[in-house]
Amino acid sequence: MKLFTFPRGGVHPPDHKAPSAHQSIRLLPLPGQVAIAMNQHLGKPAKCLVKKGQDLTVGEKIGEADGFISASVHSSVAGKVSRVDPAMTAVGTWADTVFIDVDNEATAAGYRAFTNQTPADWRQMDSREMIGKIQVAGIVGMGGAAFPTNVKLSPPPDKTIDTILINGAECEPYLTADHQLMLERSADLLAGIGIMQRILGIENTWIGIEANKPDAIAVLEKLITDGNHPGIRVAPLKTRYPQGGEKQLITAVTGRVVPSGKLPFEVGCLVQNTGTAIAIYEAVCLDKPLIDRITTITGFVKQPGNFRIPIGVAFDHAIDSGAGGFIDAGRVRAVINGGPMMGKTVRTIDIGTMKGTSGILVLADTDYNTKPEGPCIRCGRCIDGCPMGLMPTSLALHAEFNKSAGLKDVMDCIECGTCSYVCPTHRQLVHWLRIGKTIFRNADRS
Amino acid sequence: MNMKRIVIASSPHIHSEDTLHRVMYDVVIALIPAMIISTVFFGLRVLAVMGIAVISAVLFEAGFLKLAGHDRIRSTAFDGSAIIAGLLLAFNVPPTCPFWIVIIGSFIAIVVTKHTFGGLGYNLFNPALVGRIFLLISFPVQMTAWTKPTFWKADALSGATPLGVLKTEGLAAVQDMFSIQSNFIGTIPGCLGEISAAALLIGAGYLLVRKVISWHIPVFFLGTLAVFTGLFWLIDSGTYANPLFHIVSGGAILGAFFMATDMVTSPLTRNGQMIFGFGCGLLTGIIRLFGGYPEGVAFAILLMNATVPLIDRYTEVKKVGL
Repeated sequence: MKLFTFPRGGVHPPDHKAPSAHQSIRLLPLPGQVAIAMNQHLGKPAKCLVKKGQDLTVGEKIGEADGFISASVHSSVAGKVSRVDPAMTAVGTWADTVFIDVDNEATAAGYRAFTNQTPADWRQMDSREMIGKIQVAGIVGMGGAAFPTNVKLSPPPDKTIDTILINGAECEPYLTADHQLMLERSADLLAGIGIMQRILGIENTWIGIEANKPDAIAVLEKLITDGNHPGIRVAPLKTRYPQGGEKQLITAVTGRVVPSGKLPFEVGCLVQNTGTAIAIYEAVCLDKPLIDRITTITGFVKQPGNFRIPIGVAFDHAIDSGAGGFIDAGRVRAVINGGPMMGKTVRTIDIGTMKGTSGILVLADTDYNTKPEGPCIRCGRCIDGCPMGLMPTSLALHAEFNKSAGLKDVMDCIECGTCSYVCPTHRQLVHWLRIGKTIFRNADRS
Repeated sequence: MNMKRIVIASSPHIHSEDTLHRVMYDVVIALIPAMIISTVFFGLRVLAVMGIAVISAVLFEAGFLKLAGHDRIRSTAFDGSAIIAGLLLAFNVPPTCPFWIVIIGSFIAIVVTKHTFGGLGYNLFNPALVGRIFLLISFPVQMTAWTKPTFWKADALSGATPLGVLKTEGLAAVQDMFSIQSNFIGTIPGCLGEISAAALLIGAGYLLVRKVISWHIPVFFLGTLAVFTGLFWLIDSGTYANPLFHIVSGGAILGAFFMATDMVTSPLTRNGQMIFGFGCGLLTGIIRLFGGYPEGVAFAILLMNATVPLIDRYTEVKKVGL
């Protein structure tokens, strides 16, 4: 089997996927309260539409997209707004957050109403209608970055997209949510792809899946041969991090290289995560807004698995009621929103999950092996590992000494974490590069 | 819930098993075959030389860190880098070298060469080689007092190194006294650690397999040396030794695999490393064939160390998407 891969750098960390792999998607018991933040996406936070005491139904809009790069936010439960306050969110920033007391029965009924209806036929809809539904539903990229999807599907008029890439690489260690989605919801995934093909008026589509998920590759390869899915091909990918990076995936599958500082449409590509494609199907055919998602809860928990989580359910509730709680709370060192390479540690575990929460990863003291930073010994492993062809150690030194002149390449960093991962002296290279981005932006501005 | 020790940190949150200690101790492991050969050929005294070099290097390191107010003295002094510097210094002195000279070399290597520049990662020159050159210039008699391998016998016979014979007596004398095989196995007079090309190559293979070093510097170093000396050998094989002799003699193997590849003092990128290796090989050849000293490896590497910042500047990797 020919395996596609990106040409430069990367690393293969132990994947730790076994504990949650092939665990069928389970529903979480509902919590007493959910906390839904207005900054579920990249771009400007949504404007909050609700007040204390207001009654809400499942899927009711509670935040209005504010500006071009923004996304609407909807209630993931039925219930009453208990308060609206700024609060810390799982991405580490403060945002207006709607706290909703959950009405269990009404919520369950609300979800049933979405699933029990007959799906509308997207083949009868036109492009504008479907993009409109995606925008109304507040769909964002669900691989973690949470970029508003309708924006991606509306390239500037002078750019044409000729290839759709579905990102099923799931190259982050530990995470298995996309894998399980591809197995359990493959028909919905293909419908979501059909919708995107129809919106863009093209057929050429690749589904990129890392070779460590052979069953997902087999299932989809079988389904696409039935004649109803023109133009779709499966691209088995070499298991190598960061194979699922947008630019890496494009180069791996199409051989095209996204120019520095540009977006994928410059080379005619659109990349969407598998979860996003399914959310697109639900938005277009079921008129269901993005109110829940599939998340892997794994690591130092009793029963790792893949869960359907209403947006805004607190991390601690998800860990306790879904994954059976921590194995030993005293040994927990980090709880991560996302995967171990690019996810963010959360400050407290009583905050809500978000549209971009692809995983809830609990690391014990024995997994968390980062040591104090040592000096650079110039071994060059970060340079060999960088998939963007940067020199992380040099950029980090420029950031450390606050020299913006040497930082011009830092904006190309995709923050995949490979450099920090391989550094033998445990230098926090990605962290320095993030600081470097700020230094460069400020210098650029003044 | 007891979660007091929860960490708020920048991603990534996992790390490869590679650590500084692992890298450094891999180098120490790779030097073991040469240490064994040296002990077998020259007797137990070389163990004392190596021991004194290592202990003094670690003590100088710890002492300097203490004076400098460093906060992780124990882990830094034993991170392996001082041990390697001490070992390589011992490898670069004659087996008969007086102990006090070894200690002076250790001081020059650790305090002067390494720590006055900022310690591990910041030194421009290879500490062990600066130590060796300092000793060679300061104590020329003791530093060129070569003996033949005794194989445990008590009476050490003095003898010249192959490169020394080549320099002073010419090619015919070398061919009478030494064969390529003896140079390869190490039954020749020479520095404590450099005599056996075979033992060093075993260690080098280990470093390559463990990915501690890459092939770029050694291949370009030895390749350039072979081509350069080979050209002169082709022109006049009656005067110039053949390239194989040059590779297995003196410090070429030790230098190419263990000293020129020192990460701190060699270029960051592969292209830079190839230029660096080329320069080391060329300078070694020039010094051996036309210089005043019979051996040029140490000088060549130190001169190329000085060019590393410049090489780095012109060999930055090309970023993706340009």
